Amino acid sequence: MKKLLAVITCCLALALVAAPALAKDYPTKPITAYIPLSAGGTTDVFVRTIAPYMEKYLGKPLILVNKPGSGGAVAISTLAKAKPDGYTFSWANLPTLVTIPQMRKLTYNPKDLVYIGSPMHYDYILYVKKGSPYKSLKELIAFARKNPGKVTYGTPGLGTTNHLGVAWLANHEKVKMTPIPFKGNPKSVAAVLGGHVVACNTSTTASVSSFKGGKLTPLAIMSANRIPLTPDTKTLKELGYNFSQFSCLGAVFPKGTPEAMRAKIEGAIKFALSQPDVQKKAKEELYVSIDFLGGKKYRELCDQYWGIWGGILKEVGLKKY
Amino acid sequence: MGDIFGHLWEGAVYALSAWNILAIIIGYIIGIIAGAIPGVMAVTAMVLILPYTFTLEPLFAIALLMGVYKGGAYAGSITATLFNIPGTPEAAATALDSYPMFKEGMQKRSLEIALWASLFGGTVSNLLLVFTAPPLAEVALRLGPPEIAALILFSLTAVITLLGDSRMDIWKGFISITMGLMLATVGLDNMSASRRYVFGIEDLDNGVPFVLTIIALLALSEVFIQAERVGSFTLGDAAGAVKKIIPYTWQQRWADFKLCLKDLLRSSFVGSLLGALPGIGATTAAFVCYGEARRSAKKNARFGHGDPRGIAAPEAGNNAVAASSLIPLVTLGIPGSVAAAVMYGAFMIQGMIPGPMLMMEHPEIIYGLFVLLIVTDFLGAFVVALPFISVVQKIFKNLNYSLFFPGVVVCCVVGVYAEEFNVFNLRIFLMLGFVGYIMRKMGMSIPPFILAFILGPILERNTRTALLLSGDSPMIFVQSPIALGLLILAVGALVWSLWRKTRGTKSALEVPEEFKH
Amino acid sequence: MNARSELSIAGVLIAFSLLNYFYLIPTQVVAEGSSPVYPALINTMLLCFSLAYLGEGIRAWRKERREHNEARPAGAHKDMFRPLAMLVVTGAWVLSMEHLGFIISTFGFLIIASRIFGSKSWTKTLGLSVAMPLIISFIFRGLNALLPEGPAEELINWILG
Repeated sequence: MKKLLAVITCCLALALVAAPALAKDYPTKPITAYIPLSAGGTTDVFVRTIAPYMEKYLGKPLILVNKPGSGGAVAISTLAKAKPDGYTFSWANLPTLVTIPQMRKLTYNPKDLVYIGSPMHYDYILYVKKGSPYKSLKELIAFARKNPGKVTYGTPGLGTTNHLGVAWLANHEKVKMTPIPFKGNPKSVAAVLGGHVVACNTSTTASVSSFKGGKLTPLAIMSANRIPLTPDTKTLKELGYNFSQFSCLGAVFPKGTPEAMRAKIEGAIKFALSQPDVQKKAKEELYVSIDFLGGKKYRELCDQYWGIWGGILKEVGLKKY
Repeated sequence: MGDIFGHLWEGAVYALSAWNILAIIIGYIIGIIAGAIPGVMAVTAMVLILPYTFTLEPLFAIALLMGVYKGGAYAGSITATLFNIPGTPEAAATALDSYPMFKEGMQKRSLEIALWASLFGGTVSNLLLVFTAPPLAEVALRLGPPEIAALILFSLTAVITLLGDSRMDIWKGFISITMGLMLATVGLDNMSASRRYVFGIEDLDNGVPFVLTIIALLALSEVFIQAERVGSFTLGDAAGAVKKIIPYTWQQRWADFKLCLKDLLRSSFVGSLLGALPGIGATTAAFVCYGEARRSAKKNARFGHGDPRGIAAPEAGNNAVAASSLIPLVTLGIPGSVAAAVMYGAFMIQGMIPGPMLMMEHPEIIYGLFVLLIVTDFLGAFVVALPFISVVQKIFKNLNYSLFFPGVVVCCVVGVYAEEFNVFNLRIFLMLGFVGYIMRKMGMSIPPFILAFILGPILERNTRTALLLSGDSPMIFVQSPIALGLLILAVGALVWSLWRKTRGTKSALEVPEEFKH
Repeated sequence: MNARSELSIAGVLIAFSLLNYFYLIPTQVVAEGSSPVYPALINTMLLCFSLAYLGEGIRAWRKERREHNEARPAGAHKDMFRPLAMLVVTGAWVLSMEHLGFIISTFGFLIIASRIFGSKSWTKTLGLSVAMPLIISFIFRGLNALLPEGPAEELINWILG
């Protein structure tokens, strides 16, 4: 036991020697970054694609840790408890910071966090099965108007932006459509392919293969801009709705992290995004849109969508907090 | 058909390079080690390796991961046999018979049966993947929520064969099933995005992770059980360890093969079918195959006491899942299992999105993958697994148990931690390990709990989705002929198993001693 | 297992399912906005099976009383000592890991746990307790994955620069 104590004291003493250096030298050691999703998804691969360039900019390695669970809330709640010394940050999708805190009671307040910046946003497409009787969004809505509740649409879960986007549309048109929650985008696409649901609102990546294989018909782009995958499909805005579904990936620090450190990571993200490699991969292989937002802009967007998504959550009866 | 052979040839030319074969062997070694260490999953190893594939050649990376995947699918049975500690969840069913057989001194036999059955199941499933992937995927797509719900209900009836024989044991078994269902309700209710039994803890929102649960209930509880027996074993002589090792002759191999052939075939097909459906997984397939083997066996079978069919059926079944769970991935671009999701990521890292497009644009890649799969099973079995089990047997002879079991706990904890990097999970893990210990002390068998825990949520989800689709009309289950047929089968199987159980002679169908206590 | 302990287990299960009905389901399911149908259904199943089990237990108990056999083996409590000790030690390890770091806490755990399992050789125990955490933490380091960090990890970081 004595030996053990001696070892511990020794270690402690040495640890003090290696105490944190000043902020201007930041970073002096590897930085841990949580990924709020499991390995192998679009977000994960994107983050791992930009990570080497961020490391190059920072001069220290990034340790990426997948911490899935509760729509990202597990990662953020761990982050919120971490020391704000600049050596732990987390990636976060917009819902983790905006919709989930309104749906369930969480141990962190997303508004306390330090918003670093956002490298990209996701694109969403509303699909029906190829050969389905609905050739356009208008026809689908007309059918829904005549047959309330008969139009079912797959979503990767209730309260996801995929669900809320279509819910907004249905509310706006005053028709009843039934959301069917599946476990993730691929399963919701599969349900359309199998003819179990009429439509699905999915992120681009999950649908690329089936769409290119000629099994899906896109009705509308739910997000703000047209996308290269389906160049002829109009966005909701072009179809006359003043709405677009928005969700982006961003990075956040725990409350109280110094501004200099935030700016450094922001710079690293910006540097990584300027690489032609990254741009090519994002566009041609991952089907996400690179769209850099600085910390301030990112925070503003989150605040703005807190209200927008919150309103729809309330309409569909999911807003509880 | 000729087309497929043409593609296969192209794939072989494209994929079979010395480097890729090396990748397979390295991968298989990693997989077999990760799989054999209790608590560390092959999938965890795949996830940890995944980021490193950014810098590798596409096929080298995929061959490497394939090797890890296949090695892990087999390796769980090694520790299941030697210590009654399944290295992976899917080997839980194997332990029911392989551990008793080992205790009779036939460790060589049980380890080899597991290996050959894995090879058999894996190969059948590989061939099914190559030749029938598109139609099988089509069938899997057609199965909607009502059909899946009925299928799961039918699979759940396999659980009956795992129950004991006395009335007391049957009630305990049912209690065990309901507790499994109950544990599975913890977390977010996906149908309403609201919490159930979460107690305000975010970490519980996604439910109790399933690998963690199984490792806790089977591996950790076994360590607790062994702790009880410390007084009774001395160094090198474990709980009922065997000194004499009975050799395994060629005649016996042939006899076992003939005995098991029917079960091997059935399990390979059942495993492949279940594997092609997203979300069901290898553990379920293994239990269902085990249950089916037991159900179809004659009354004098020695199931639970070291029947070779009780090893061959689940091993062939769980290895058949390995390849067939890639069917939705390559034909539709939908990952059907965690491992398939990792493979999806690996493809994406290489700039390819698996699915119908890849099949059309680059058939040589997909068929190259198929060729690699087929090669992996044989290379793995002969080049890696055979030497590996002989090494394990040597280590096993000189094992120091007082150090081994604490080491197992460390491996389990590290494995569980590496799944989600969440310390909270370790607390649930420990709690469940003790619950498993108490349950075993109480005479409640664990396998029904596990099966209910895995299948319960799928059953609930699909039932409720079906009702949502039909506007709350239960007629949806009767309107689909497949669902109706499966439901009738499920009810029939339930009634028949229970009837047979109550009529059965006591000696024939018993829960193995190790799961009773 | 004797009849009396079977009866008490059945009692515990019934008590739990009642608790579930009257406390857990209202506060943890309904109050959160979830549908109570499925949890209540399972709970009813549990209650029914537990009652059947209780009945079976009573029958066994009567039979046992008639036959006057005390099935309880001597020293049953003593059996539980080592598993309980393992539980406590593992718990302490898991809880201390976040503060002490993986290497130190695992070192301590392995030393104590191998004593519980009756290890006789100090050299082997020490060898394992030092080597295993170090090897695992180096594997994780190699894989760029994180284990909980503490003083020992800081020291290694410092040495490695």
